[in-house]
Order: sequence, then C-alpha cells, then structure tokens
Amino acid sequence: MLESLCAWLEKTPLSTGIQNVGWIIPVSQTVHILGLAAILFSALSIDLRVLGVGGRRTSVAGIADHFLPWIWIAVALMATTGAILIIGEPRRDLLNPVFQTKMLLLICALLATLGIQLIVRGAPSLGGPGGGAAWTLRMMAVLSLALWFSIAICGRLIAYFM
Amino acid sequence: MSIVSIAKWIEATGPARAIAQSTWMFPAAETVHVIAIAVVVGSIAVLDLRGEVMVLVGSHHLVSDGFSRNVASRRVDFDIKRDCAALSEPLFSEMSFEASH
Repeated sequence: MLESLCAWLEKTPLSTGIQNVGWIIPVSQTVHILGLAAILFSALSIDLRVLGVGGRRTSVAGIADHFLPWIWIAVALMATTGAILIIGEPRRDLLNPVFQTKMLLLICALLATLGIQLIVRGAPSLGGPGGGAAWTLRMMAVLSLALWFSIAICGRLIAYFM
Repeated sequence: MSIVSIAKWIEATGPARAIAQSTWMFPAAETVHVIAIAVVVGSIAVLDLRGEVMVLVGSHHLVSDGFSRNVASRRVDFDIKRDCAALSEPLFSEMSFEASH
C-alpha cells in the first residue's frame, strides 16, 4: 500500500516540480533543522524548569507561556517543510523504518507537549518561582525530552537507512 | 603544504581511520552535531528574538500583555546603548511575565 502511494506521489506534478527545482529540497531541509532548533531549545527550557534544573527565578507557568508558542509555531513550520521533503522524495521517507518510527515518536511528543500545556494552564501557580512541580508533570517533562531528542536522532538517521 | 596534502594527512591518522571503518561513529557524530547546533541556534532564536518575531507575525497575544508592552516600547524608543546593556543582564530578568503571574 505504501509502495503504491509512493509510486503515485512521485508522479504528481507537485512532486516532479520539487524534484526538478534543485534548491527546494536543500532549502526545506535547512528550514526543517531551524524548526528543530526552536523546538529542542524550547522543550529543554520548559522541561528543565519543570524538573527544577534551571530558570528557577521564573515560574513554570511563566516559562511555559513564553516557550510553548515557539514549539507550536516550529511544529507547523516543520510539518510544512517535512511535507515538501516527503512529496519530493516519497520513497526515501515513507518506506524507511526510521522515518516510520520518527512519526510514531512525533505523535507521542505532541501528546506529551499538549499534556504539559494542559497541566500548566490548568494550574498557573504550579511551582512558583524557585519551586518544583508535581510528579505527573515531572514525568511528562522527562518523557517530552526523551521523545524530542529521539525524534532529532531519527531525523538524522533517515539518511543512513535504505 | 596544500589543502589536499593536509586532507590526506588527516585521513591517514588513527582517529580518521577508526571513524571511516566504523559503521556507527560517523552517524553518531553527525547526530550529536545536529542536536548541539539545534540547541545553540534555538537559544539564540528563541531568546534574542523573544517577543519581536511574535509581534511581527501578529501573534503577540500569545505572550503576556506586559511582555508585549515591553517589546513594543523597546521598538518605539530604540536605544542601542540601553539594548546592549540589557544584553548583559541575566536572561529572564527583564521579561515582564514574571510580574504578571
């Protein structure tokens, strides 16, 4: 099924267009990595604050308010550039087990980020300046960090499989 | 000494041979490199641009009112000396969202 999807996708005018214009794929890859930069740093900032490792002068809610919008904007940017890369080279990604794992981890990371957002928004006073955070939130923070970093690792390793 | 001979010399060293022969060392190094650059560039983008980009894309409601006002006033009376001084302050000290919560 994936095979036939790839066969169809790579013959679409959009895909052939991307393949024929040499700069689209490298530019998309570059923007994709810049998006990753925004997500990794934002996730690190939120999660390390939740775990009480850094940024203790600001509340968990304050840090989350500042960095969560960056994560969602960067996710949209990465989804767009990622879609361009998939449409341009469907076989390289869709048939790749590393890519498939990455998408699975992405769903989990988005859910973990949403979970953190809901918990923090539901309790803005949570872990005021200097304090720690609830146990569930700490678990979500560890999970979120592990997931986003695994996604970054998978992203790089896509090039090494197939 | 030409650049080619320098490259050939590096290629012949022990670490270079080990990396070339190993299946995992090069991808591992690349992965760590990308993650490290992501954290460096991400910190510059997210902290140095702070609210400015949010204001430009019209999503300043995403940051707190005090923070937007702070950003707005900085844009109106832009003062290079004060901005440079602000850069040497601790990271979150001038973010007004501290006060708003």
